[in-house]
This record gives sequence, structure tokens and C-alpha cells, in this order.
Amino acid sequence: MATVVEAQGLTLGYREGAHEVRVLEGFDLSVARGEFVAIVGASGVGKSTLLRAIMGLARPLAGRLTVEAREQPQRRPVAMVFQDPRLLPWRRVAANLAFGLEGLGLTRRQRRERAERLLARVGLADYGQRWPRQLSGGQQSRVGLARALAVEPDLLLMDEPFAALDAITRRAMQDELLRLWRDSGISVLFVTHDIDEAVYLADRVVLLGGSPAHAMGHYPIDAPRPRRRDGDALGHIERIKHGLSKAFELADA
Amino acid sequence: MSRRRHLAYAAAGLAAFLALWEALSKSGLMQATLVPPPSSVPAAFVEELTSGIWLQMVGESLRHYAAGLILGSAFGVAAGVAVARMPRLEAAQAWIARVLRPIPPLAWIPFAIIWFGVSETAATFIISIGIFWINYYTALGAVQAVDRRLLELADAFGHERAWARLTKIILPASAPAILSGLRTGIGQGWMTVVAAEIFGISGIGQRMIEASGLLATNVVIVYMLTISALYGLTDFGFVLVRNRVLAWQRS
Repeated sequence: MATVVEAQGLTLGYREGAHEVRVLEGFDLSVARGEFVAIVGASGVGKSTLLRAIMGLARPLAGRLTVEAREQPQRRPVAMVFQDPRLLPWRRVAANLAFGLEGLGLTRRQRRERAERLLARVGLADYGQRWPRQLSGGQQSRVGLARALAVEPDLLLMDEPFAALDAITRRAMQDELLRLWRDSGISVLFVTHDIDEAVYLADRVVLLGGSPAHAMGHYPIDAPRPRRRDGDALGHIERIKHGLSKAFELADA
Repeated sequence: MSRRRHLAYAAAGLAAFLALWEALSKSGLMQATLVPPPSSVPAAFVEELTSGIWLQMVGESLRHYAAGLILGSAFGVAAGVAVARMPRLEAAQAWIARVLRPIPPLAWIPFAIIWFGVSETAATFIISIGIFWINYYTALGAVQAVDRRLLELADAFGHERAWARLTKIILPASAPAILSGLRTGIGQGWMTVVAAEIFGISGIGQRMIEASGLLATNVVIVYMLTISALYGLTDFGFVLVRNRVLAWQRS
């Protein structure tokens, strides 16, 4: 199967004067086209750094990183959903949604149509003319998700997108994401510190740990979809939690 | 306090102030030329108005003011934004700005006259200096304070080029602060208008000097109040525009 992201021996970090600080070292990952991969790790383990590198915003210190998302007219190959909704407060909701569409050679009308379609898909059809501050946290999150989907990416990067939401909204957003993923067939790389969330959503979970961080385990989640939150995946959760505690023991030793 | 009560107290305060002033100057306790009774001001205003002097002076001062305001604001904001976006430029300007900033606009009068003669350009130049610095520093600070996460957002959605970042993120994000700088400049400008005209450039300032020379202090007061009214109008108009531009901000 074609891969969208391929990382081999990837080392990421930053230079501080003469020496380099390694956040991630010798990291291997491959994401197949259409696959949903979750990366789980504690806060500050380098998950966001990894996403930045895949976006092309940070250059690897060593190793290989290829992103095989297709450059196509009127689309962006990779899109990002942040931890906070990160809407521009001075733009109305519809204009926020069109943010990534500007500079793609679309006419104003095409942009508006695409923005309206996406708003409808996340259930906010009537909210286009509101200001972001007039939306609830969950609604803002949905706009952030719709903004990323609007550029019709091959690869969707998500950086703990639901971490700040309340439990009920978070569940609704997870199901909405699964629906949108199923309908669009794009690849998703989903970063989270919540194992339950990762197991519920992903085809495969990659456990990130250590310092500098590397992949401590790859866990395929073979539970059939649609999944139940309580049953099918419990075994996986136990395995990953076990892996995680081993990672912490290693880090403490 | 309720809005109506507040208004009532404000009106009563002003009336009492005027009444006391009128009484003092009528009673002979204070000389009428030094402290003209407020009741003599409307007559002086009507005289200035009917002779056409008032309109002429206001027109001329408005011209100096508007030109100085536009120049000072435009250059101040542009320079502030540019310097904030270019670390090398920021380092290079640090000492220059520190030397020039504290020099009051009026201290530039000798140079203004040498460079531009006793001309409207000279007055415009002096007015623009104070406005420039206010806008320069607010724009500089506002742009430096733009949330880095919004710039990251621009990068992630294909707006990494300088012009796109400037127009889509930096300017809108710093607009509230830049607009409050512009508003401060609007007030500062009126404060310098009089001073910029007292060395012989026709306008409100010069007329005030003339009037005080003739001890026509009630005419001086006419123009003091004129400045207050003009400031009030410009500020009011600006706030209307600002509220429209910043409609997204209101809660």
C-alpha cells in the first residue's frame, strides 16, 4: 500500500548555540494512504515537534522524512488541526473556514461555496456569519476541523485536538471525526496523550517515549468498526498501558 | 449612580463653575481682562464668526492638523511595523530612537524654520513629529506582541510569505493597539497645533497670540473652546470608525 508519511531514523530538535537539543531520536513511522494512526505519549515528549516537521515547518537534524501527499491544484497536501481551535477572532466563521483556501487560485465564490459545504458537514450551517467568540468551545473546535478539511488534504495532522473539550463534547467530536475520515478517505495522524481515545479512533497506535523520544511500540488495533467504547478495545488499552508503564520505568531508571 | 443622575451632576457642576467664575469677575475681585467673565465669550465668538476670521483660522489650522496627522500617523505606523518585523532594523534603530524620542516637537521649531521657512510645511512638520513617535512605539509594540500561534497557523495553511502574513495575521491582530495609538495621536496633534502656529503661521495659534497682545482674553477663550470642540469632533468620529473596524472585538 502506498505510504503518505515515511520516517526512518528521524531525529528532531533544535540547535542552542553550538550543541543541538534532541527531542526525538531514531524515530520510525509509516502511515499508509487512508490509514488512521494515533501517536500516544506524555506531554512534552516531542509530539508537536514531529507534526511540525511533517508540515515542513522544521527540518530534521538527521534521518529521513518523506511526506508523499499529492500536490494538486486547488488543494493543500497537508492540513493541521491544533490543540486550541485557533480561529482568527477578526474573521467571521465562514471567513475563518476559507483561511486555507486563499492563495489556491479559487474564486471568491468557489471559496464561499466550499466553506459553506464544510460548515454544513460539521453541523454549523447557520453559523457562517457569526464571530468566533459567539461560538461554544465545541463549536469552535468543529470550525478548526472544518478549516483543515476545507483544503481537501491527503494527510490530516491533529495535535491533541480534543484535549481541552469536556467529556461529552469530546466524544461527539471523536465520532464526527471518524465519520468525516470514513467519508473522505484521507490519512490521519492523530497525536494524543489519551490512550482510550487513541484506541477508539485509530487503526494503529504508536507509543512515543524516552528521552530523547522514540517509538516504544506499534500496536495495531484490529477491533472492527464501528467500535464500542467499552468492549472491543479493552485488551488493546491494557497492552498499551502496560507498554507505557514500561516506558516510564525505563525513563526513571 | 444612574445615567440620568450622573448627567444631572455633571451639568450642575459645570453651571456652578461658570456661575462662580462670572461672579468673581463681575465683583471686581478679579480684573476682567485677566479673567474675562464667561458671559462675554459668546459675544466675542459671534464677532469672530461674522467677521469671517473664525472660519478662516479654523480652516487653516485644520489643514495643518490634518496634514501633520496623516503624515505622522502613516510614517509612524509603517516604521513601527517594519522595525518590529526586522530584528536587524530593530537593533539598528535602538539608539537613534533613544536619542530622538525625548526631543519635544516644539524643540524642532528652529530647524523647521531653517528647513521650510515660516510656512505651512513647517507647522505640519512640527505637528507630525509628536504624532509620529506615539504611533511608532505603539505599532512596534503591537506587532511584537502578536500571538506566535497565529503565525504558526499562517504557516500551516500556506500563508508563509511575508506579505500574506502581514495582511492576514499581523495587521489585523495588532489593529486594536494600533488604533488606540492613532487615537492618542489625534489628541496629541491638537495640543501641538497652537504651538506650531505661534511663530507666525496663520491659524488658531497665531490668532490667540494676537488676541492676547490686545488683552482680548475673551477671544483667547473662544479659540481655546474651539480647540476643545474640534478635538471632541475628531475623536468622536474616530471612535465611530474604530468601533466599526473592531466590531469583532465587542462582547
